[in-house]
Amino acid sequence: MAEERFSITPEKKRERCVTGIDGLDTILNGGIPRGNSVLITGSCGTGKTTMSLEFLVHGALAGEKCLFVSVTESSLKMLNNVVPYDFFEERLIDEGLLSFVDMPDIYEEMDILHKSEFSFDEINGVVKRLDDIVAEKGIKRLVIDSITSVCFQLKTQEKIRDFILNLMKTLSARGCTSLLVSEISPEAERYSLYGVEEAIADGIILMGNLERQGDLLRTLQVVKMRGTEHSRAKYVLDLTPVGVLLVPLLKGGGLEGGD
Amino acid sequence: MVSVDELKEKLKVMEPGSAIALKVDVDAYFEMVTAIAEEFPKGREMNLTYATSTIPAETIISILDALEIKRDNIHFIDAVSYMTMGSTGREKGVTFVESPTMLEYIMLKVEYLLKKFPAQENTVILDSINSLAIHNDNRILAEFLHILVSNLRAYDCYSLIISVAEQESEDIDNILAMVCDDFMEVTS
Repeated sequence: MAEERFSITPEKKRERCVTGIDGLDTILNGGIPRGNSVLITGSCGTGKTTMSLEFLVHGALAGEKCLFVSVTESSLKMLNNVVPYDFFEERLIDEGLLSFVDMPDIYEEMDILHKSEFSFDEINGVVKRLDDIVAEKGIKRLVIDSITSVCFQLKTQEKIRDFILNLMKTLSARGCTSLLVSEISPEAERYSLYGVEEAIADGIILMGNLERQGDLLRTLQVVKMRGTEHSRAKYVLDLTPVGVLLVPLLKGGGLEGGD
Repeated sequence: MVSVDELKEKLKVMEPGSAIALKVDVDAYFEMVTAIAEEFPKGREMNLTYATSTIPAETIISILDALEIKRDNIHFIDAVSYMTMGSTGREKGVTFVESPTMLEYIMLKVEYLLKKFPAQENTVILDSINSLAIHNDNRILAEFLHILVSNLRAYDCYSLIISVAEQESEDIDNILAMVCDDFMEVTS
């Protein structure tokens, strides 16, 4: 009986949240396992926000309720700066399939906007507020841009761990697949600013800028993804009006430039 | 050895998804390029993607315009103008790649154009393997062509890879032999 419960058969493979980004779904063997919280990490200008938004737009087009939580800049400003997608439809916003929340508005509601450090109760309050929105709207895909900015007001590793664990548990229980955008410096030797986020997240997608003979290439690499087999190779990406496109990074038989 | 006129006939019976290496004499280069642009799509719902690392797209466009060849269905990828500090203006139908060393971006722009402008049939022309060989090591060039042509086959897309006879080398011939189904020497 117990053997049957724990055996892994193809039928019991986890349901996938198809990102709609062709190359990424191929890399992930069909998409992100539903309910996973994935760290999208990289330095500035690597395409984290654009790719995260595309993930939501494809979800909304497939009829899923999607939410973008903007922490550092207003949603409106962010929307004005992303690549205009050919497949974007205004009705997605009008019909409530794609919605935006600015985190400072949540802080203001909770009267913690100007606090330099949050207490454990306040952190739990933020997670509770996000959970309420997810439950109320029936959100199945969520992006927080960026989790690093939220963590900035948590200060200690304990609080950061508590916040992320609590958030991931809450979202997973709702069957919500989330992308948590993480900002790191180009020379960082780890995947998150505080070092805690990467250990807890179900997945890590590393986005970077690779300099090769004076050319700057945008790259993507899935470092970790629980619940699926996946490629760990490095890919080159382009942000285009038809969406994020990916091709393998050429290695030239092991020449310099293959990293 | 085939003439440009014979090439036109051969292209008409080309199988979808096939890749042809076209080794052309310098003297026949423009005649061949304009013949492909004019004749291959004639009577078919076909888009041409012309990836150039040899001469700027603007130059090819000027020649096509001078010959009054319709180019609504031709999209250019220009991987030479940025490098030569040439014109990178907003010429309609031209997508730029910063350098011919950014081979991944040539592949990405090809994929972008195939998705952006869907057509019943698609042809990708790579002009030329020799100019790419100036800027890239043969091993990375072989890897690039292998991935590009394999992807194009998956789209049932025709691939025409131009090499210039006067700049031929055994290494380049070997790369073309590895990825192409057929090899034609074109003369005027």
